[in-house]
Amino acid sequence: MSALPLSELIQQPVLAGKQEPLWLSQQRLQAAKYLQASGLPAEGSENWRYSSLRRLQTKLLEQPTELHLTEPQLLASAGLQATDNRMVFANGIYQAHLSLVPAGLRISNLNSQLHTAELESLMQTVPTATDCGFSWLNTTAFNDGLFIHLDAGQVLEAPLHFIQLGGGNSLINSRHIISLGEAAKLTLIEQFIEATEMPPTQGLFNCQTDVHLAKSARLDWSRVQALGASAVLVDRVNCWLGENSHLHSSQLDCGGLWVRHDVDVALNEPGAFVEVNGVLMLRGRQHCDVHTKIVHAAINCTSRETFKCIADDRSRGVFNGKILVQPGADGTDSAQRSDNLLLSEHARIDTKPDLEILTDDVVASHGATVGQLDEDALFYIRSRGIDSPAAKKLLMRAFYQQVVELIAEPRAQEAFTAKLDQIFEHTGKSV
Amino acid sequence: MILEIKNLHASVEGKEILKGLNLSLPAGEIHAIMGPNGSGKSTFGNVIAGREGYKVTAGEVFFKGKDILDLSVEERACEGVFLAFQYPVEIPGVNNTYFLRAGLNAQRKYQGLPPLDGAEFLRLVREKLKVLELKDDLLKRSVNAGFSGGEKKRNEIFQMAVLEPTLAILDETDSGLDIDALQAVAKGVNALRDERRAMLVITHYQRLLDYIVPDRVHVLADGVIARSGGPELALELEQKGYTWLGESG
Repeated sequence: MSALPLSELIQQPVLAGKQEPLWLSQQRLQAAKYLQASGLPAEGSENWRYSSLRRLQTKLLEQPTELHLTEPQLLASAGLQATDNRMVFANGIYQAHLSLVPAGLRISNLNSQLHTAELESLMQTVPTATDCGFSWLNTTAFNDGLFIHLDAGQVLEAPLHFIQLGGGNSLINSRHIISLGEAAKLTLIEQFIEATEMPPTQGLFNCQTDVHLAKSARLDWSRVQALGASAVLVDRVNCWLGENSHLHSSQLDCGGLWVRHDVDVALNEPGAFVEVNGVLMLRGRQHCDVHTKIVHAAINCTSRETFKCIADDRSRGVFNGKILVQPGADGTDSAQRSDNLLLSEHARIDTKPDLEILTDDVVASHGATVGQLDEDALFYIRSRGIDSPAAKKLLMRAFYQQVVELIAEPRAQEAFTAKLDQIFEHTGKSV
Repeated sequence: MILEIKNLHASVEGKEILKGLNLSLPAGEIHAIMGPNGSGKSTFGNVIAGREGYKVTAGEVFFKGKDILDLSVEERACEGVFLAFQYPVEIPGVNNTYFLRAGLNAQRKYQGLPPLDGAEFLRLVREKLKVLELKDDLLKRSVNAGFSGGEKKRNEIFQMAVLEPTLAILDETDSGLDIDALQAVAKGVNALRDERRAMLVITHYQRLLDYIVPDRVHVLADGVIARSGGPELALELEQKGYTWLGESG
């Protein structure tokens, strides 16, 4: 199979799936039409101003290739036990033989749900804004994904591990859908990784995850993105929160050469609660652009955000945090923090809190800092006998630890710290 | 001799603060350094500890007979120099126990000793807590984060007790302390007092010296030791104030 540049792939998108329901085929055609007309987000787009796509256009990509992975390889790469619940995708292709799904719950790959009413009702309509190129590409070409649909009251006690592995230079379009019924509960630990003994990822992941939480549902979701140094990732998350539902999300982005990560949360019904926290740990020439958008559309909803970015070498981090409080969303309680640490004079971080408040009865706070390691703290630590590199690591660990401590599930905390400790050994050499 | 300072000149941001300081501190002794604000007391402590940005332009500092001016901050600490900070730094996210164990084991490694494991270390710190009448929860908290002024100073003394330095420099440890905290600090210092160690107590007031009785008192003024004497010198200063110094030369 020959590789083609992204710019050409967009003009002639491969329409995935042959035995699909009519509504899906129509969506794909519509998205393909938009994509051909408007392409990927242009340079001038405000939403993409920090992330130029110019170099991506010429990236040579091919159709997803199979990664022939064994169970021991999977378990070692993802730090899993053989008995852990898990859904595994390699280059976007579902790995049934590597997955382990708890009985009695509707957790499967999306393709097995194509002809169900639930999928049709959960699938989003094709967006029409001009900068949705990656969404259109995803709709046009997604070949599979994760599908979770818990009925009212269903609770999965043990965490479900959601593993996405990459390798080679594939263009991977995945669509994931998570829907929790009334008072349903799920803990999801997502990992974007490369497998040991597999080729490094040089391709492009274009993922979209749609999350629907019904009344009083709760999703605890941690996501560790640790793709290889050449990978490109566009990861979009859309969440719709019902009455008194609860979303707790922790994101670690430490992999990939060029990453764009969007998290959109709509607090649509009274009393909904969302907490989105993140750590960006960047080095080399990594570029990671995180955009969050939280819309308070109902009364008495709460949003919390804490993002920490560490940038070393010539890396670049972006945090753009939009909070929109709509008219009538009284009793809104919103807090956002963005703290940033520059470890090298060539690293760059842009942080932009963006609050738009259209009602009066609101408690909203935000704060952003960009700094270097505190010289007073370094002197203090060293004065107790700890050498300078170790003192710096201690301070960096302290910097992101605050976010790690907010993760409730111990296994998820473990996944976070294991990955951070691993890359930690290679970070901060230039400071 | 634990510490021998000869003709020490030091400047901060191009401004000369220490202007030819001489001091001899024998083993087993506690000396107090007193002086008005701006006389160079804190600069002195920082220079001995090796803080970057404090430039030694002339003179020598010998610690246990060894010239330490070329040693880094951490090397001086590993040699046995301890500075109790006037303003202990808050480090949220770093556990007090982890921090102290990292420090102690770094020093032990430097000295060619095996590291203490978790259990051994815990035994040691529990014992020190007891001596200083400190609560266990100190161990679980982040270093100085959210501590009151008194708690921070007690934590400095606690660290000193665990690290058992040969030379301890207490930089205005008494400032802002109530009488209970002051007594606790003094207790920690006195517990460490022995024939192998020496201490420098930098203070603005005589009050601390009621509890830590110094062998010698030095008055620092305008970057030099203007006067030295026995403990009675501190009382004299308390009564007459620092302006009296200028009058008497």
